[in-house]
Amino acid sequence: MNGEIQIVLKIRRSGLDHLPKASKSTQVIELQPHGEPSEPLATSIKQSMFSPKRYAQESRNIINMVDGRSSVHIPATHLNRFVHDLFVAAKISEDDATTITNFIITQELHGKHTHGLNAVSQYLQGLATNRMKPNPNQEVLSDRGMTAIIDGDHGIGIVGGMKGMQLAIKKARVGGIGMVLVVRNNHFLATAPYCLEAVHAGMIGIAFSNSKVVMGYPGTRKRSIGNQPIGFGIPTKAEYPILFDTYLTTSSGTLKQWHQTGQRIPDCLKGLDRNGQLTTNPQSVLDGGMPLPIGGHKGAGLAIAVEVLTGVLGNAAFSSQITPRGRKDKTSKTDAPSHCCIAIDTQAFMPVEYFETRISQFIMDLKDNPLAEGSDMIRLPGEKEAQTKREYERRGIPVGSKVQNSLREWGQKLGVMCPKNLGFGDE
Amino acid sequence: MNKQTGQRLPVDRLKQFVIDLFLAAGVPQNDAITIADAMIAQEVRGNTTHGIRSVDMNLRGLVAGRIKPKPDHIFLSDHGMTAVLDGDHGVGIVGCMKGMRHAIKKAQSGARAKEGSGGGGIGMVIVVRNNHSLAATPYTLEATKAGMIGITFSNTKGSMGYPGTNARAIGNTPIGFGIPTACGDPILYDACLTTSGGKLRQWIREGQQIPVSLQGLDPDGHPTTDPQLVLEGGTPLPIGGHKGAGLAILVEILTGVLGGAAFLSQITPRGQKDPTDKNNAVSHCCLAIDIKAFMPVSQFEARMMDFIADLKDNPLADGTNQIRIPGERMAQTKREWEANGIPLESDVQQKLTEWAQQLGVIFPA
Repeated sequence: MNGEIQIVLKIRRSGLDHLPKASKSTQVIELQPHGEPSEPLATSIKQSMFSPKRYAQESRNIINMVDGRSSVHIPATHLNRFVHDLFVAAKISEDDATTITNFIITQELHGKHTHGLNAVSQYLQGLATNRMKPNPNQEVLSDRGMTAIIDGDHGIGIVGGMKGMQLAIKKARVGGIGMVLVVRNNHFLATAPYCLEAVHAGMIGIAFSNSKVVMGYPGTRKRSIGNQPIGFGIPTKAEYPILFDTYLTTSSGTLKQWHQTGQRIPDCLKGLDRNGQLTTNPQSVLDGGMPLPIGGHKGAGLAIAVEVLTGVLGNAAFSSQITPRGRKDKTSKTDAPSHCCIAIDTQAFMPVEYFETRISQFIMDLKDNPLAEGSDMIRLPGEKEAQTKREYERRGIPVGSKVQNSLREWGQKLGVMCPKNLGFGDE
Repeated sequence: MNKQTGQRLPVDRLKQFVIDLFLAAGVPQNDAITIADAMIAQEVRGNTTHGIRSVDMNLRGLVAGRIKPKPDHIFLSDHGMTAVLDGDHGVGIVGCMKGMRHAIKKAQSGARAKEGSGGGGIGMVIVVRNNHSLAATPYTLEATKAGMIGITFSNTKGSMGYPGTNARAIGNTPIGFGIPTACGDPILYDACLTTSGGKLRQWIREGQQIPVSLQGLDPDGHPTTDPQLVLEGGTPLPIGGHKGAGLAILVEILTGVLGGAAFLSQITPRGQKDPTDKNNAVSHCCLAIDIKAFMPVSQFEARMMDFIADLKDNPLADGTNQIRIPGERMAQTKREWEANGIPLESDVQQKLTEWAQQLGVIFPA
């Protein structure tokens, strides 16, 4: 462990005396810049309007994120260069490596560590075992009016997904709205970076994907439909775009996180245990049970819309035809998830300036409601991510030991030097 | 469902009666037919909380001057495959149906593609300054009849909670879609992102509790499954908490915000609308996606049957006798009621009889 920006994470008990109401037994992490007086994370978190309660929760999340022991903060630019080089070494083209890397770093900067750097190893593994193609043949299978279908051809999911959104944006410039399906693609990781691509073009972006069956459906106790990642991005004048990225149930990543941090599932997201009984215990859902769609039949219906607008309409795999990751046959025509990317050009409706002013009014209107007891603010989706981004751009992205190790191994395997200032480089 | 009279009315006679009522209230012939078709489409599918029951609400609005019988439905913008239609405070059904038909026209691929008037494969029309559009089904059904996937959603007055506040901060966000299938019965989904006031009232009548996944807040801000407490001073919560709340934001933005019309607290409760006010009614978004832009419709419809079979192929849970697809029960009810007549609820029949007398129309019963 070395490097001048290295920060050692320490877990200690108590230490929240200056924050009212926090439980003294709460585990928190104090970040200490190497060799410098510590500047507790708590201070900056408090400044960014977290409640003590939420701070405690954030801290638990951080513990989980860095898997309990040592983590380092690494500047985004350094991580970016390293990850880019790894993918280039794995025979991905320069352009595609840039797309993949920017995507992953964006996720990390937003604090989405469950869908960020940990995918690097997954992708490199997929490339090494030929389950994923480094240079897929991403043809446009159909292109009519403002719609199109792109063949992901089992490349890295991010590359195909981003091509889909970029084509949707191009079409929306002409027709006001563009809709592109990306089929036979691999896991597209998250929706937010695609939606951001539209936001950067002054548009509203919407992205969703089908997935292997992991969620319940009314009437059966079997996982029968995908959890359907869905998201959207809205350009604003505020310091952050509205950026929504979720599943139509609790993802297994979140369930694992709740299990590790000792949290229960909120009532509105209850799942079934292995005996088909409702439960708020995340472990019971993971262990032979299953997550249920939000709002029961309501979320189940929305999941159908997602499945139809991706796999069914894209002439690709849907529901049980989608095989679990890792078992994909590269030559099969129809066994991978599909995505739908929609871009809506606000200029078809009104000048962007005017739209963004209206969005500001919208945000104010929503925030103007009386706070519930125990709440310190009404948040818009994307607001917390923007705070995290500011924080991480200043301090670097925290990388847990598990991800450090796997990145180091891949660096060695692919002959990519980890620069010393990464903090976990070749010494 | 409320108490029924036991009497059943043939679909055609009931439809003609509804047309006659709206004609008598000053609505033009074509619009009266659109209104009656939409209400009957809802009623025969058993969606009686949002069917013929709404005749009363609309006639009251027309008589009181809150709803215009002959609104000026002009396109406020029309670029590419998108448009904004002014509902001009007419009967909500009329404006929303015009919106969906325009979206269908824009989406139509094939021959029209060269004319520049459509051919986009997808069409999106926002209808602003409109009144209550009844439900999503009549419009999404219109798209499925054209071989398209139809999607509609609306903003509404604040009627649902949002994380961080106990106030009814955002609309309950009715959303629906229709998808054609090879068996002739389209998939028809029509729901709010929370429990609607109508559903809560129904559960109170039937003595049922709210399912846990849909529980709301009581007047003190505590979670409850008692529909009475949610309805009176409490707050229904979005499905999945922040998840449903996020989807509600998207709907608000794609209707009121992008349409240049009212959103969130700007939308006044029904009954308080000033027809001269430019900016205080609900907006809808109608999306039509032409399947032909992706594959032949027959191939798509066959794929839909595979999709439905895949879902139904799962083992049944204890105590369940089938896995249902949205719209399936509606199709069953439709077949039964079209054959045997529509059973009218007694309070609806009462109101209809009163309106028949007031407007000089003969009640067919």
